[in-house]
Amino acid sequence: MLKQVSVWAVAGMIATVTLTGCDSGDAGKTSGVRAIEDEFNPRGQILALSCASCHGTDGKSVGIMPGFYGKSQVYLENALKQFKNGERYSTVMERHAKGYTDEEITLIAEYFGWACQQTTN
Amino acid sequence: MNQNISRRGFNKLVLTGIAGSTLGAFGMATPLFANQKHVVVIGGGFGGASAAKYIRKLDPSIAVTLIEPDSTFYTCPFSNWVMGGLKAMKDIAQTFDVLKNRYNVDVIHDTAVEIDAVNHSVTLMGGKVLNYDRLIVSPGIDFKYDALEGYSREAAETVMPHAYQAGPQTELITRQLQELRDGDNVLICPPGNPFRCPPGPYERASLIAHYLKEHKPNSKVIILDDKEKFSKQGLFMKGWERLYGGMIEWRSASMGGKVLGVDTKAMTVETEFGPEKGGLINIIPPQVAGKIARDAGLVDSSGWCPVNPITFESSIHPGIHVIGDACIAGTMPKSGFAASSQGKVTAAGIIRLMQGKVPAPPSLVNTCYSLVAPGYAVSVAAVYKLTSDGIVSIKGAGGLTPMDADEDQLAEEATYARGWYKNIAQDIWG
Repeated sequence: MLKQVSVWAVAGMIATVTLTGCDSGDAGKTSGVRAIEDEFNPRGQILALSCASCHGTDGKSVGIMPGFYGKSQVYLENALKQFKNGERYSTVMERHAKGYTDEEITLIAEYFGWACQQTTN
Repeated sequence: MNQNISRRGFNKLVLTGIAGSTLGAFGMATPLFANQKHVVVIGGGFGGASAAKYIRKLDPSIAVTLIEPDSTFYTCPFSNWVMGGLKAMKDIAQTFDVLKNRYNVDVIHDTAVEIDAVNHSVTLMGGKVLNYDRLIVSPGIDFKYDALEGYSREAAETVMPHAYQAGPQTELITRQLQELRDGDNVLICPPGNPFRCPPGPYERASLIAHYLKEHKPNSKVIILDDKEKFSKQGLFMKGWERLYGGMIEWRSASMGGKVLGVDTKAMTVETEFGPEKGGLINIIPPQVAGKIARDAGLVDSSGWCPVNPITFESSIHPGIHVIGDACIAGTMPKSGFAASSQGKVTAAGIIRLMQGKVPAPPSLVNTCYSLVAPGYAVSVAAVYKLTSDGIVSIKGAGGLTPMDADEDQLAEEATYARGWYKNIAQDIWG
């Protein structure tokens, strides 16, 4: 279902949908709805680099923090918004997620979601 | 679809690419092409190593040389855990093998002794002169030993360690703690603001108390502070009361905490309320930016380095970026996490500048876990952005572990503290 729907359109209404990442099915292909240009969005990059300090380079965690390498843009955007809204339990992630606008969360999800797109296409 | 377009952010280093042809094929130092951009980084700690790795990761066409005196870097984060007997020195030891071998950073174990900001060169103690297109200075802190009468570098190295640069100092204070006579007190004397790792002395007090509780139950920790309040104060004090009873006593500057001098023979510190004797005396002196930053004229009258908040380029010398504890980064604390965050922002900014593009506005983060006891940790977090007031933390975000956090949550934070260390070490040196 999701693959036919724009990420932008569903972003606000998928709070109850749980996607575990590319390997769960169609999530990866949905991230193709927004064309990735020759270069990544530099704002997305700057925002996203912070995440690696706790979650590992590119989201490849070697500690107990969840890794998110290869997760889809939809999954990441959804998770971050749930943290931000307090809908998802966390110790520190809510405090972090509240520091980003919804647009910035989309940029972060897009940046890391790229890896998912690569693995599923 | 654009899925086949290579995006550097996720590329593994492609050794057959442009970079591979110039770098590291035989593990040799980097022979630079005439047109290849070259960044030199001074300091292999949280800031410098992050910047070096991320420049190479995000744009392998840029050559990076990292100058770091030591082949093993011991991290200040988690060094308090060593004092408390919870970690060994090897657990806080980081090396540069991955930066060298995987990211093809040219790591030179030497000390930078001179920066020529006009001719864009750095001279090393060994005599080598390196030219740079851009220089990143991440020297950490130095101590103002002469701020306290009777204290000196020699006193720190033999009798009253600061243990605020990890390594031999960590080993010295840990040994002194183990040799402490049961019933003798530990004095911890933190400086006024600003200083490296604001919650550090209080985590240290916690973990030393943890050790004393098990091994020297008649001893206690007295904190003689040069401040009226301190980082995570409410959370620490609540934890101390719950876990250590009266074993940790904190005296603010105005309540006799202000230290005027030390007597290394008598093993006392002089306060406004008289001398205080200790079996172990930990003096954390006031601090300034590392020597090379001061020698190169990168500091202002505060002793720290003013920078452009977008690229961390020095406000004094163009072409030189200063990151980490040495720089003035708005309301960001001087922490390893902050230094790494600044290192990555600077890496991205330098790449944009070298590509003739406008750097993106900075986004920075700090998260700091403090262990109060094994299985009991508290944290503070903040997200930072650039405003007309400089780099400030975003209101409504960040903040402390809630004061009413239950035991499970505090235990969870302790587990995440361990996970954080593994991941940030991997993100920087791995």
